[in-house]
Amino acid sequence: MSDLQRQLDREMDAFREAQRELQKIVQARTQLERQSNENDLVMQELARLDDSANVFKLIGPALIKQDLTEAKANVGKRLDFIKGELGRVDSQIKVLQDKAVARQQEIMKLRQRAAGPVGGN
Amino acid sequence: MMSASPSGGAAGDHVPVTALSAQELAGVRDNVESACNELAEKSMHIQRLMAVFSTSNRTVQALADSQPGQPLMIPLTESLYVPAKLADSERVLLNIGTGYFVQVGTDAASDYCRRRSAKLEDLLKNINQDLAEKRNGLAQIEEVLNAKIIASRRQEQQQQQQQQQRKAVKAG
Repeated sequence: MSDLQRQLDREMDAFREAQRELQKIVQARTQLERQSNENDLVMQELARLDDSANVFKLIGPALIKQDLTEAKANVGKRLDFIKGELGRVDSQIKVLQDKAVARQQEIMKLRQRAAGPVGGN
Repeated sequence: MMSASPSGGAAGDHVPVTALSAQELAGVRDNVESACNELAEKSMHIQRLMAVFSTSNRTVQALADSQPGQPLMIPLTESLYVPAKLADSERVLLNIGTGYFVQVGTDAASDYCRRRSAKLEDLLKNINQDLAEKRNGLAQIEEVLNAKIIASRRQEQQQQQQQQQRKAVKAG
């Protein structure tokens, strides 16, 4: 096995690894997106209630009565946290994408070099 | 996820499908096909959710129509029911997500079901439209792909015939 071939194999492995990581993080993003949507909906519903409304939170198997303003604050905090996570994940996705593209270009270059002197196959 | 294959789908293709090789085309077809399946699954899921909201709405309305003290049988398990009396026919607990429940009147609960249903319906419309477009694109891709396959087979046959003719000429 030539040196070039070994290098190509290494690059391919790195590329696949980057793809796998990217896939994992994209999945995490979808999950966060879903949570963000759900919390948004809850926030909208809470906003429609008047101050005297009874709000409960399911904690374990029990419904615990909550203060409406407190509930709103909690959901708001949760939303902020999720938005922050989304931003973090987005920048991670960008980095991984760039990495994958760089690997791909490297692979193409190596392939061209491997095919070049032999005259292509 | 390979950047070589357009993930945007065939409906708004920037590259004409006829410009791709049969192999590339097959790849694109697989992509579009899986996108179609995903959309179809989403559409089904939304329809199921809408059915849940419409059942809830009907239940709430039935509750609003009944009087306190109305005898009921409450299911404890699938086969064990206990007799009960309706204490309150005006207020219900609404599960609004992420573990939050709010106590609202039956009118508000009914309104909630209708609102959620309406939103889902909009979403469903969009998805079904998307799905129709994607399926259309898929049909086009398949048409072109089939044409290419037939064309390449014909070429092979012609080459074989020419070879045989050449052999015949040499032999003769």
